[in-house]
Amino acid sequence: MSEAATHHEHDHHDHHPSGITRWLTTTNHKDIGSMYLIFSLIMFFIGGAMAMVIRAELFQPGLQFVDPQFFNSMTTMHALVMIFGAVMPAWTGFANWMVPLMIGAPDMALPRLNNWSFWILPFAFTLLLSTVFMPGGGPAGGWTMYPPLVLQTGAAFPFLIFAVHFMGASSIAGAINIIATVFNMRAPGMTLLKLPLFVWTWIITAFLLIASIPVLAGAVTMLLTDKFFGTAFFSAAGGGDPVMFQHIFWFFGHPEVYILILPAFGIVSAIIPTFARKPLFGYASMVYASAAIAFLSFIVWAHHMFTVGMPLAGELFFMYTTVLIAVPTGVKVFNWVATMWQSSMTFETPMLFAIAFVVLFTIGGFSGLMLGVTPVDFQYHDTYFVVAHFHYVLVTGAVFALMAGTYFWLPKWTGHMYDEGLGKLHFWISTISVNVLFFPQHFLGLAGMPRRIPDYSVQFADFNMVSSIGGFVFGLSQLLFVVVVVKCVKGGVKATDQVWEGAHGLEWTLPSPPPYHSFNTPPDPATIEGGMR
Amino acid sequence: MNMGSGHTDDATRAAQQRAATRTAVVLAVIALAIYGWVFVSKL
Repeated sequence: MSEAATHHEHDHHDHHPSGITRWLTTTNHKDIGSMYLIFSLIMFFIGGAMAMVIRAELFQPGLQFVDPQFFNSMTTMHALVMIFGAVMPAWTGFANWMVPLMIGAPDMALPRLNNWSFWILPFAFTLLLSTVFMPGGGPAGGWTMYPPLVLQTGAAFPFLIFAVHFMGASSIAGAINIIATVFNMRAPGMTLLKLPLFVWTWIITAFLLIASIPVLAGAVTMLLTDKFFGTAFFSAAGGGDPVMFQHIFWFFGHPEVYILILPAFGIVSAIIPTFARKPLFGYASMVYASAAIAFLSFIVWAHHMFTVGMPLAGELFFMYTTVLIAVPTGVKVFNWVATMWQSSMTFETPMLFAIAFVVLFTIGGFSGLMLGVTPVDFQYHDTYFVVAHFHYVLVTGAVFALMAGTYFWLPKWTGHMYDEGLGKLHFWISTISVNVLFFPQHFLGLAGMPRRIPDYSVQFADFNMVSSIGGFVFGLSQLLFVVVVVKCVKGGVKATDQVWEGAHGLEWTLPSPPPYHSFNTPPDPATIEGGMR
Repeated sequence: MNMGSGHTDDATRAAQQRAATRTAVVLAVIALAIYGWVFVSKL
């Protein structure tokens, strides 16, 4: 505790601006991490409200509440807000808070860039969300922005393109900062193969971001020049190729899927060993599996466009590489199960969410395998089966891991224990309702219901009604999450430094909450146990 | 790159900062090069 006392002493002498100036000008990784997390929570509710509009309209066949143009705008904006506004900034928030603490660094390597990365985001999303109130409404051609449809967007078009550029710039700056931090700021004794899995998965995510976001930026810049400057990159009439956009987009889009899920693997790999009270099974294989998934993510993109038409050899190649991803992903799932095998598990809220992640993400993985098989995909393509698949991967996968991580580290961040009863209630309502919401969508898709439609044939009515009820309950239950977080920030039982009995790692050697500046002096190398913990 | 050295004194901290800046510049150049290459390859 003498080290902790030293930290407190440092903290006592730290001066930082108060009020709004603190948040505008801060270069502190904890402040910036908190801002990212609060921003992502706000975006989560804005995107969630859009989902409620979608599910309300689909509650019954026929047009009830909104016109088709607005409905299409809601599906497009829901995706953009959830992907770029909720999940990605949430991961960057976790990285900001936890990476310096986990590697024993005093802060991120480039703190001013860090501030800039965050403050770009509110501007980007003001641009994007303002389009809903413009003549012609928000973008409605789908988040994939396929030409020529997207070129029919009205006044919203340049706002969409610049918003995507800003989001991309923010993500790249954040990724550069994380790589520079981990490669240059590690404490003595923190070798690469001692890094916690969350840090490893974030390094790999950061490389994916740097390699894939510029490709998206290039594609949307070309859309901009096609629309306003007379180029014809994607216009068949001018000698261009609209299918080329799909190839470029998905060369970004598939790595993006792993950008959203790899940090989730890292969080689950931290939580399961803690509550199983056992070291993580197969640490090195987890690192190599993450790297293998990242590599494969760059050679599978055309499985999103099997039906667009391509040579048989192309379809076979993309089918085989897609199915191959099941191998490193399976390694991870088996390692998590092996960690739990014959362990002394307890089931606090973070562990419940982590176990639900393993089970439900695997269901999403299996439906992904089905979609990856080319001839089968011809039937499933653009149906609700695809919607069910990616929501299992992104909601019960990425979002559940975000919930797990929040409950896991909230006592460390705030210094208080959260309300375990309310946390478990939030878990059970969320888990039951999310399955009521998304599982019936598999059946709708198999029966042939297309995605992105505001109206449907009567034979789809029952499952849509069930799905909407699940959606409303899931949406409302997230208010419970806000109650738990606010209650925990305001007070509660004092958290210990270690918080969880089975917790290992440098972040747990600091007081709860950690001082404003931590690890000004590097931690004792003897306290570094290695990443298998 | 400065792998695993301490950051106790100012000189070490400054060296780490320089190394981090170099890493960031290299990564930013790579990102810009990919962005440029997407255009050049489609012209």
